[in-house]
Amino acid sequence: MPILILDEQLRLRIDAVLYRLRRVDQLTVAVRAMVASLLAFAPLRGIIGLAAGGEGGLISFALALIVGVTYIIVSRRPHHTRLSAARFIDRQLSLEDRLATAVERSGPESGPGNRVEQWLFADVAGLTRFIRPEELVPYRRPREVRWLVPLLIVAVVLSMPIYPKGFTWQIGGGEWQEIAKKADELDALADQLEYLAQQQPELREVAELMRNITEQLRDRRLSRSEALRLLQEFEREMHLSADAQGVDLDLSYIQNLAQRLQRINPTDMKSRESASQWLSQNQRRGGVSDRDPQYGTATDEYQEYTQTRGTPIRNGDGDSEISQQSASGGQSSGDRSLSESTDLTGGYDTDYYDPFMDDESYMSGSSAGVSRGDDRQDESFQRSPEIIREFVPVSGSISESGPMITGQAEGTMVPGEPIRPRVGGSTLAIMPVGIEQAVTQEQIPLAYRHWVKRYFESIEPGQEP
Amino acid sequence: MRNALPSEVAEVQHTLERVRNEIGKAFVGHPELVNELLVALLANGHVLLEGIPGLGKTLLVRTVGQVLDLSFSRIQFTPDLMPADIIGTSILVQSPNGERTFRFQHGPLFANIVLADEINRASPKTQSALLEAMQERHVTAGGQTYELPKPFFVLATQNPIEMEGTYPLPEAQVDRFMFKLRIDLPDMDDMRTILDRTTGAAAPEVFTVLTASQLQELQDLVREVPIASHLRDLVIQIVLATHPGKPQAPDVVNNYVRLGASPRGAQSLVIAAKAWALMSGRFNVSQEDIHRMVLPALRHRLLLSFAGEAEGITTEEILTQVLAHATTSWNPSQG
Repeated sequence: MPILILDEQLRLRIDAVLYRLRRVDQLTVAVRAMVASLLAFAPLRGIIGLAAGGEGGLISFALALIVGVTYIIVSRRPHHTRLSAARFIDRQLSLEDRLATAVERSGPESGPGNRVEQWLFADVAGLTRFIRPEELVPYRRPREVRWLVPLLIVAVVLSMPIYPKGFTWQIGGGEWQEIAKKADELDALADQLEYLAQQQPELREVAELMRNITEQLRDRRLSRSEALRLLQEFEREMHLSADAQGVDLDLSYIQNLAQRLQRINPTDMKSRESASQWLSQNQRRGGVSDRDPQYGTATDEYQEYTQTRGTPIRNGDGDSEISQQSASGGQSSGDRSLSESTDLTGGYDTDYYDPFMDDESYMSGSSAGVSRGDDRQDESFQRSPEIIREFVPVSGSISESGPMITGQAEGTMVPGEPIRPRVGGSTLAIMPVGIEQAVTQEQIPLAYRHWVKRYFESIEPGQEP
Repeated sequence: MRNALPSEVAEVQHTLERVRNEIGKAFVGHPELVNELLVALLANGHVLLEGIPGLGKTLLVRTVGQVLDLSFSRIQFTPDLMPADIIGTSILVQSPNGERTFRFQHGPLFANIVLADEINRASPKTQSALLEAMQERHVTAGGQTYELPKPFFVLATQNPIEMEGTYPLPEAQVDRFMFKLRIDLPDMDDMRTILDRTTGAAAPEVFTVLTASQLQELQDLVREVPIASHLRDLVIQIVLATHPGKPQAPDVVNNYVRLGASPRGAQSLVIAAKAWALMSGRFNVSQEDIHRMVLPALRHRLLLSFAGEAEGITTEEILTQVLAHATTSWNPSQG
């Protein structure tokens, strides 16, 4: 008996149907997965958005994506084969399982065919002209497509910032309250600046900047994380603006703060521009110009201006030496190596770690990190936002008259000469830094820190209450 | 959507059509019943005919015997009928030279078509004598095995109403019948025809149209009809669904059936579907063939539970639900 082989044309037609069945199935699964994802996204986004005050968009999207992928994985897609395609054609054309039987019996693996099977194969070969793949399996859009557009609209709407923020029942509601509290403090600080601005009109611009930040924190247009970041940056910049003597509302500090505030206030271009104008005016008057990075020390005009305001400008010998050394090509590492500490106990010194210390433009001035008290303008105007101020233990002791550092040595080294220690530079800085640290630890509102610090500074050793 | 049939198949169909016509001369109406009887003959299976007295069961069987040119014998089963009465017995024979030997005297079972009339009136002992003959197609007497003629059909009848003095067939014997066919009352037109034909002066004359060898060839042809694997699986699904407690079984089976169909039932269903396909002019079994053959092939293989008997539910009703359930849960696109 002969081996039964399916008619070639018939086989091609069945394979064409098979191909189309697979494509339609893939398209359907893909559309259904999208619908499933969108269906999952809508409630997830709504619930998470309400609970988190509009945040969690990425989480909702990721979860919806997982739902869609899971649907693709678990969906029971029929495994299309030539035999299943033949069964499909049988059903569609009412062929009474003729084609499926013939496909199953075809090929050498099925063994030789008998009389009836030969008749069957001759019979199905005549069916080729009735099998039209494009009619049997037309490429139509899956029915689920009609849900895509409405679901997409819903998803877009739910992705918008339509969620209320700041409620205590929401995730991070306590943080919102904390933000509001901080905004109040900032507002109070702005009030003080405005008060001071009566004598120093330039301060009004800074006050406006602070008001702007306050508004942003209050009106909840920002997300919780953005508001927290803004607040954190503000506090960080406020501290970074301080010199070794801590937060002090003197002009240099405010100049520094103003520059930093306009950097962390990206949403208000107007304020940024005005701050820049204000800064450029002051830089022309006394600050360090970006166009003139060679000069780290204050110009005469600025010294005159600051002296008029009574801001202490210490320009010690050591600083002059450092400036000379820097001008002659000295590097910060060399300078820093000169900082030495003897073995003493107690007390903390401040030290700045600056990743841009090797920057030539930065180092071209006198900001070698030694004479902090004198070159603070230079530091403040050129320090990058990555600067981290570290507290490092230094030697010292607590005397009867208060915490005093003894034996602290800082100085400079001129090649060919012995080390010339600069006694007292860091030692003197210990007291204000300690005060500032205490002020921070006690969580004293920003608006009052200045006055608390002043109070402590006014206390003479041995006259403590 | 069909090509011209091969000449051999066309001839088969023509012959079967003539058989139907000849039977129709004597047995009026019930064309489906006649078709199912022919399917059983092509599938080489035994048939149990059930119906009230006077519906023409015996006439139908006798007519089939005449049309097929097969030897025919009729056994009227009674309570005192003994196995030897149907199988035959060894008798003492004396030869002319005075030598005495035992010789087996063939009973009425040795015929191509055996009409076992009112089979449920015989004692279980006699009924069981038929078991070997029906399944093995040979009988054993006096330690000797005797082959039965080919083809061999047992067409038994039983009266479902008159139960007094009857012995219900044991399950093992019922299972050996390929089909159980029911004869219902003929309708008005058929009754009119019956009266006209049987009360007149001339009796209808029936001709032989199929010889035993031709029938055997047809039986061989039936076995060559291919069945697709998914349809074979459907048959298995249906048979398993008749067993209570099986995952395929619907509620009606779990509630009302004590015992389902055996694998022999599945065999009968497949071979019957093949015969039906060939009779329909097709060269393969289709799903419709299986559906069509489920009731005659399985209705007598289901044993109702007490609840089923009490509810008066029939095996046909159960099988109808089984078929629907099995077809629904059966997924031909898999595998």
